[in-house]
Amino acid sequence: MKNLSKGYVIIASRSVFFYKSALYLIESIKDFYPDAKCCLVTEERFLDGYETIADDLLLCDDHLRAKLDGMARSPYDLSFYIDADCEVVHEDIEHVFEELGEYDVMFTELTDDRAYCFKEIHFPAGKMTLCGGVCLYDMSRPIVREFMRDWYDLTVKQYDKSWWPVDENGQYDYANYPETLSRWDQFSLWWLVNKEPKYKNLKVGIFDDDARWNYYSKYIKQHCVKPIVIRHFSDSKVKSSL
Amino acid sequence: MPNAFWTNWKLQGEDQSSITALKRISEERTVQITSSEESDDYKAIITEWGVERITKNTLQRCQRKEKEKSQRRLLDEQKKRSKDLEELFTYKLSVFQTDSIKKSNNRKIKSKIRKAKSLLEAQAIATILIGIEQGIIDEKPE
Repeated sequence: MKNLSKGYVIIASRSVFFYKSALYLIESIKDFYPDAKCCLVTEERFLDGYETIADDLLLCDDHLRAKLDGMARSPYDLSFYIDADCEVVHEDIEHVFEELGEYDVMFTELTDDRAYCFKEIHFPAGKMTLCGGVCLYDMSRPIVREFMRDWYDLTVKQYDKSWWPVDENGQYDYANYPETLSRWDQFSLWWLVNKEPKYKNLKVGIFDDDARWNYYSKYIKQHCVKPIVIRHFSDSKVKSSL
Repeated sequence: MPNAFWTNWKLQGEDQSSITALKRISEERTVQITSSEESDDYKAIITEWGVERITKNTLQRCQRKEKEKSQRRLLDEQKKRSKDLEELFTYKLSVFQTDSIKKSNNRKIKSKIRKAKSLLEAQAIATILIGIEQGIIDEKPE
């Protein structure tokens, strides 16, 4: 059995809030798991000396795509990406890597009973079910490395409008795939997982009791059984607080 | 006139002196009316529905309203909890921008601030740490 390295990937680009919040998140991981390896991906302009809390540091640019670029460059075999606007609140964070099992990548889910918390899930041609707030993946597997790179590449094209699903006339199919979806990296994820033949054998899983690994502060119902491990503060008021 | 119920059933203890029901006033329009014992509408509804049926409908309606109320209360509580959690998180982030806390090497107390479950707890621990860092409070050796 391979001895796989394990670590957490946190990406902070575009705003100083994400940088401060990312440092806080890393500290909160280490509160519960002092030996955790954490990689911070951030912009050079934010560095203030406190980034040394991270065990590994990668630099990125100030584009939305920085998230997927950072995920694809993770220095760890078993990587657990967490959105920067989160905090860890339970010791089970240490055991997250055991959740992967035989899967290649693992997410939490955008379920209908949580839809009140999300802006856009359904569209005429389908439904986004995978949430990009956290992602557990095994970079030691070539298919996963390729998938992460393709997710990044496709999202870059999606953001700059040089890619979109086309209809039978070769035109961008906004009837089935409304343009509003283009702001979500979860849409490029949906496309790769559901429409890209290359990844039909990619083993994509959902965490057991998944909400505990990515518990949105806006949840107003109980969505998990076991204790919450990660709280996610995606509200814009929180983001404007620093 | 469907959906008839005793208007003040709960309010005045199984009172049957007033009925509320939907009344179609034109092809396109239905309105909710409340009629008292002496009115023609009241008599018409009693004739059409019967007392027993109106009472049954009223009881079902009361149960439904109670359930809705309790669900609303639960939702309000959870919304407040969600707001409190966001405020707590925002507070914790801002505390760690305070110079004396940011620069402190006291990992133990900093961790306690992060793990604080309420604003009050976080504020109290943050105050202690500031006190220690500024030499106002002596931290006993472990």
